[in-house]
Amino acid sequence: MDFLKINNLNFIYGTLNTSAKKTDGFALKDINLKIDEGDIVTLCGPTGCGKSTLLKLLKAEIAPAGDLSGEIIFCGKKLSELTAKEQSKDIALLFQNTEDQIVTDKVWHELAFGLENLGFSQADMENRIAEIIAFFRLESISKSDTGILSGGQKQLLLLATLLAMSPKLLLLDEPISALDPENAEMFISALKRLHDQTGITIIIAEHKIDYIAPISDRMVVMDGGRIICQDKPDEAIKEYRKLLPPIKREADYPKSSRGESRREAALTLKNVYYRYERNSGDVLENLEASFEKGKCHAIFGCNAAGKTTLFNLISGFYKPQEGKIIFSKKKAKIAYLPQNVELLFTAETVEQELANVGLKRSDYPNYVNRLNLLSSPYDLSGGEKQLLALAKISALNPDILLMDEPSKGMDTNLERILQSELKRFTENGICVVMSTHDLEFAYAVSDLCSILSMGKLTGFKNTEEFFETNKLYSLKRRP
Amino acid sequence: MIFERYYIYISLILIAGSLALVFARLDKRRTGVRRITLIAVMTALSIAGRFIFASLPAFKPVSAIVILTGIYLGGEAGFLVGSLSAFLSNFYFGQGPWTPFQMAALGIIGLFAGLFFQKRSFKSPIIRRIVICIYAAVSGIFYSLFLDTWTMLWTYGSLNGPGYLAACLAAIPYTALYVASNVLFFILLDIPFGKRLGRIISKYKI
Amino acid sequence: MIDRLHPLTIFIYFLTVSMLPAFSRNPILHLLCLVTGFIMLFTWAQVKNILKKIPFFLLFFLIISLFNPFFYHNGDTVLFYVAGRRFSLEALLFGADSALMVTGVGLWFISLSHYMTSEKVLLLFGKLSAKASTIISLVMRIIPHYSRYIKSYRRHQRILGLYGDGSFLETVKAEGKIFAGFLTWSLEHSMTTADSMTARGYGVGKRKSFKINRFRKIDFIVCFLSLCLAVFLGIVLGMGYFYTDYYPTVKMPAMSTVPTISGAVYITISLLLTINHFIKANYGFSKDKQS
Repeated sequence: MDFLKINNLNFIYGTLNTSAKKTDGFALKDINLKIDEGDIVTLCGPTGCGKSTLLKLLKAEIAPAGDLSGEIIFCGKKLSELTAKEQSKDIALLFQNTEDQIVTDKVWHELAFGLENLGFSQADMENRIAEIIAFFRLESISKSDTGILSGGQKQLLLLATLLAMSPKLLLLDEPISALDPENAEMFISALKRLHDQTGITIIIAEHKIDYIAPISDRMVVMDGGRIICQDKPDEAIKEYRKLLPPIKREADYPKSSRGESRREAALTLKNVYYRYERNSGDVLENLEASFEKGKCHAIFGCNAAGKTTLFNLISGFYKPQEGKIIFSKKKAKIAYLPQNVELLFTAETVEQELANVGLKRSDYPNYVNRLNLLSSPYDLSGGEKQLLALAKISALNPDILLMDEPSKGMDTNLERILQSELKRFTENGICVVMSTHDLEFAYAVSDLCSILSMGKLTGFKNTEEFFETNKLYSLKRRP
Repeated sequence: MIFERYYIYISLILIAGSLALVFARLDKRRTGVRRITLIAVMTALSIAGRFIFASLPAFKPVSAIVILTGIYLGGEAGFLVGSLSAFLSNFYFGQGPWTPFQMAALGIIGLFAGLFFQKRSFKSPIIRRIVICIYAAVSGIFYSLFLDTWTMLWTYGSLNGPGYLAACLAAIPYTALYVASNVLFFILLDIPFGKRLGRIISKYKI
Repeated sequence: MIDRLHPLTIFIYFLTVSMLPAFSRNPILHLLCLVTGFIMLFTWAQVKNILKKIPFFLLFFLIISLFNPFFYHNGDTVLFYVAGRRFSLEALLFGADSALMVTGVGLWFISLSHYMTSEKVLLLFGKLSAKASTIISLVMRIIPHYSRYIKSYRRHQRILGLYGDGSFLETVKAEGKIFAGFLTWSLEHSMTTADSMTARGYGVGKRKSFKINRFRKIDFIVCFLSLCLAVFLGIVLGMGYFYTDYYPTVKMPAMSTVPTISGAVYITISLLLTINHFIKANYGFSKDKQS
């Protein structure tokens, strides 16, 4: 008996979902997949290839509305014939948006939530929660408010809450695409430990395949709602790279013109200090930096190094407690692309959203074509939301553009759009400052790089020099 | 037996008891998960409204949000949003023997908004608006009177005499503010809530 | 210690101790209630913060005391006339007694809402209505989340130019848009929360709530003592031992055996948890810091 078998699955979204924009209307077409018990299978492919849809269809209670044909057989039974209780107990799904999935205000209560729903006895609940807390090492936060956890801790907590219900099949929808490397590694190692310990079957939809491939048994590459390849990770990655070639630094951009062209500071920070509370330590300490016009600056540094604090100071949300921030142009216009781009949306449709920043139809950047103008910004997919935010930001004609993790959650196709936009910005003399964990993307798009650490920025170096001289901050040597 | 202030006990027991009964009764009804999360969002918004306008006496969007919940999500939702936002916000603004009365008053306002208006169609949007504005105004008066009566009863143990009248008269500016804020916030919030709740309700088939 | 008690115990104890004296008009009972309620504050609040609140309570006390004689004029001892109306000592005393009572209950309720943490509220409410307790837990979770979001939402919209030139009209318009945008955001995201709840089996069967507090022997004792106090004081009050009248002249009960004993019983029980707390709070703690 197969653990999970999908036969000739076709799916068309119901009329209400506007993101169904595949040529023939099929979000999924001719999907045939067999998954053995205990496997870790990764679904990958460009944004909108149908990997998330496929995952959601495996969890019948929350499956999207639409026309479905074909069958899904789970442990010898049709998925639709499982009772609601079996469904929720045996199949667990971790959604994309971490923040929204938390239901309660305490960590222990979040862990208990699923068990409460299934009507476990008090003793069973206590036992399972204790076990899960020990396994996921949540002891120190077990009584905290869920609101104070970091993104990585929240993601781990959600994984733990699902595991408390001891499911047979674990479905993860882009579990690490929103995490920084540190938390992504923590999550993956927890997942690996879990799999080694329990042999649970896991299906992951993810495009950060560098992290996932080493722990996968099999990878399924999808494009346009079809499976184009399923194989061992090493083979499948080749296919994936054909579909989504990695982003490259532009070759026609001569090395000399990047570094030694005339330098003109757009923004200078002098001896800036900032701390959040009177008695806390300084987050930024005697920070000195100068950001140049027409250059793209990349700032690296680990979590909590103060990158967001720095941006909040430059954008004027905070005032430096000591030191100065000097703009070379009076009333310099600043634009800020936050990590969560939804902070930029106010309107009901994409079209109004663009009209709000004074953008006429004739002035739309060409990537706006990918968006349905009449849909709500909230009906767009993650990548599409980022494009809309980018269009809004660029319409402001800023002098200084701050970008917090701009490539987060993007596949390389979208990264390329961002790359050409960044090029256009710098050519127009905009000073771009971005903070990022994504070394490859930064290498491809930036002119100058620096690391923020211990409250200070190291001196900006030319990108190529930076990546040549640094040993740890250098590009991964891929096979 | 001589209890000097038995009214307050009778009224407290009546109100707290009937609240408990309504909550227990509502538990018997099945409510979809999405509706539950919407109720939670509306409760959080009305509490947030009480916070934002904390510095202005009586001028709060709470009742308007409760009424809107009743209109768009039904009487049960209106009751829950009203009573729970009174209960939870009092953890910041002060719990007291008045809590059950606030819960009941706001709950009733939400419940009746749902019963009267949820499934009713009006001849024109203007008539609808006027009718609901009247309801909002009346509920402002009701809320103010109901709580003032309880406060007087609680503080001095009786309602007779000029003190009660004086208290009611003294409360007129507050009552007027309640009425004004209910009507104003209803008019301001009706369209945004209607559009956005309507979109969610039809998109997710709630 | 009080925070280790079961929520039901806390609820019953605080309500009996604070609300029982309110049955009567006797200032001595009300004063006892006020004093014990005040001492209770020291089990959790910092002395500095308590002292800071005192002027507020005094003002509150004065308003309630003075309101009464301005509107009630029966009482034989006239102190002076206000606009031709009598301002009597009796009415003033009645007002002061009411103020004592209201302030005393107020103090007890401040401690009650401190000790009723969200976990305890949920446990108590969960018994009454599972639906309401789910909503409460969702609300507790989203309020801090919302307040963080709306802060950065405003900031980002400001640099996007939503607030225009910052004039009053522009600001009002912008705040309206902020509200509408925030509403869309919160409604959309609540649907993911709903899906996550469904995916974790919400609504598939009868819900059981996980209890973080257990009903221990001490809970039983405290509840039992509270009920005893309620019955005892109820009978004493009902028999008129504390019967007090203010009009036309103040009539107070004589300090005979029964009222004295009842007062002593009331003090004992209303200080019970406080004393217990201070004993436990200074006993049996290791000098080592938890590593």
